Amino acid sequence: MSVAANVAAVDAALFAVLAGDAALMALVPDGIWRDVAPAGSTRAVTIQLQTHEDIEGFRAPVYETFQYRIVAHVLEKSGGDADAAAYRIHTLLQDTVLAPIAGYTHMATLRVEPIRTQDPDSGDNDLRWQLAGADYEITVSPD
Amino acid sequence: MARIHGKKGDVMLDPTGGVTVVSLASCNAYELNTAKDLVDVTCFQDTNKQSVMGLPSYDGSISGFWDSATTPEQLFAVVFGDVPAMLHLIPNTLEPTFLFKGLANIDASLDVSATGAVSWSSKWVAAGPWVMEPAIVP
Repeated sequence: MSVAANVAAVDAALFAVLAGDAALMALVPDGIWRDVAPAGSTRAVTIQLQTHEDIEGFRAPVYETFQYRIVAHVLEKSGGDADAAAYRIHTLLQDTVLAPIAGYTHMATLRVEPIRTQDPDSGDNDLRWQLAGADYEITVSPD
Repeated sequence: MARIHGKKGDVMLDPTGGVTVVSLASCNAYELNTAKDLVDVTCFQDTNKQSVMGLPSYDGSISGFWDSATTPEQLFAVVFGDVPAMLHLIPNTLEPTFLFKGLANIDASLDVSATGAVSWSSKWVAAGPWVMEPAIVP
């Protein structure tokens, strides 16, 4: 009987790939954060786990599917750097092997839907937050 | 025992047709059908159609996901061989003595999609006498 793997391991692998990329960090130097970036950040990426599904087999889960929303938040007038960060994230994730993931073997990472929008700053309506990224579906098989 | 969930089901087989069955890996569903042939024996002056029953068919399907470590050897080698496999279909491994078993001819198909997991499905049909265990005398 296999023991269920820790789903946090997939989060950790995702963080490691994004935070470890110098080109992405140059665009979003305030870092990679889960759900919300710290106050004062003006260039950061958030990762939010949206859904998770176990596909069951007779003796153990056969594979698991995670859907993450990964978005670059950049305080700038145009969306140039936010778009560049989103493209870099896509290059790092889409159809590449996410490894190592403790307790899992990576199967696939596929973009579900791109995100590109802007929001006014809550403190100054003349400032704009450019948001760019995508929802990604990551499929992994428990070891 | 009460009504049960299918989570603890199992498919076991012996590719040689013998008694040494092992669990089929990465398997998540099976179906067993025991439909009987119905022969129409309706005659003149009957007030409704009537039929007599033949033998149960014993056939069904199995499905799961491709794993290169197990699926080629456990499933496709049987499919490409000439020997009917001994198949055990277990509704609940917590009650492993309740099962259906017999020799089966098995085929398989592979389903590969760019947006999903690689899966296989298999149809089986009895190649010898099948039994339900423990036996229930009708």
